[in-house]
Amino acid sequence: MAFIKVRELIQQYPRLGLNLLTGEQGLNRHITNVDLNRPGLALAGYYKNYASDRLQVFGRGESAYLQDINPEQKKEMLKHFFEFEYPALVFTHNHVPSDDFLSMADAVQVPILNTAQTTHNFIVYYTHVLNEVLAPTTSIHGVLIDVFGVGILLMGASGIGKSETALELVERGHRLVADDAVQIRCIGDTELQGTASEVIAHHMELRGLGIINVKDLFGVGAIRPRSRIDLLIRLEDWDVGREYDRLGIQEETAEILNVSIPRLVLPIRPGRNVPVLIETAAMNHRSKRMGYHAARELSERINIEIEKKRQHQNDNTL
Amino acid sequence: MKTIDVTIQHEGGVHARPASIFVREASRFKSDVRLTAGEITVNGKSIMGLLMLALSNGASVRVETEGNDEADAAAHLADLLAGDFA
Repeated sequence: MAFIKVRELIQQYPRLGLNLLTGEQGLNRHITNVDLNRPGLALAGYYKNYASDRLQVFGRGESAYLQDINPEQKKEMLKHFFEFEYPALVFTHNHVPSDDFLSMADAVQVPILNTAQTTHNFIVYYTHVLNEVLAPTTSIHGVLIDVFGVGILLMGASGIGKSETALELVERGHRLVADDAVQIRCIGDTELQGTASEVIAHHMELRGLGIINVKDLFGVGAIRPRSRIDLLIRLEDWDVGREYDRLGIQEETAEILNVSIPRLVLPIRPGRNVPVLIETAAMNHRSKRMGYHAARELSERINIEIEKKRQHQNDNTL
Repeated sequence: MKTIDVTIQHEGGVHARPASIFVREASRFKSDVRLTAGEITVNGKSIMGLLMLALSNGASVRVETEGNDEADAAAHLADLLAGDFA
């Protein structure tokens, strides 16, 4: 299960502005949930369906409640409250809870953090960060290139020419994101983001040449650290028996991490200019996204033409 | 599909030279070859993928082959990974 440690959340995301107040023995606890919980109900004594596995956020309301309740009630309430295992508790608006609260947390090793952020901003940033951190990921054998701003994932059997095609596209001014092992993550259930593993980033393998560093040879303008994946193009040996799409009206899709993306199959044959076909596919993709679908518009015009001819024939026979 | 788990027993692990030997051998077979170490799975016929795994001496890796010659492929490649890459 994907997770992030409380320690990592504090250190790697300074934008959240988190400071540790106590409970540092609990810093290795895992946060496994994008959701937060505001423990108002729990503080008031209601624990049904209590989401104690989530990060708990104490806003101004919760902090005021802790200050106002009488000490006897508070002692009982905190005793019950700290019976649960929390990843961490966060106080917003720079609020610092009372010493008795802090020592009870310390006793059960629950990290208490605070931040100068308002509750709203903290929740927004936190959700954004966790969405990224906990996003489902996968690794795919293929090449990811940014062609005219369209993220194209080239796939196909080993040796078919994905890397060579990518190299030609780089020469034409497009940008390589990842060669061979594309790391993909699904952001917010709808978008796929691809990147290269840091170890091999900017490198490309070409049979006969070996491994080259695209950034060194072509410059920073030839690479891109990450890109959305907009279109999947599969390169295949031209199969005489197979039916290839002659119209392009129906959009075929493929699924990666439960997200559907448009998919094209390009048959390869000696003499076919694959890079130009890919550039054109990218431009056509953009055109479709802008509302102009060439194949469909032509199809409509043909229908109108057919109807006109039919009318003409009818008029003639009258 | 054939699956074999292997432990690397080569000093220096699977660095550039053994990786290129493995990829050369894997590419001889018609079957698809996949290597998995930890959470990462790569295409066994791709040298970049193999280098990305950065397998050290003593690391475990799973070999998966799928295709007509999957049994031969799995056996041969597993032996190669567990051995000396001579």
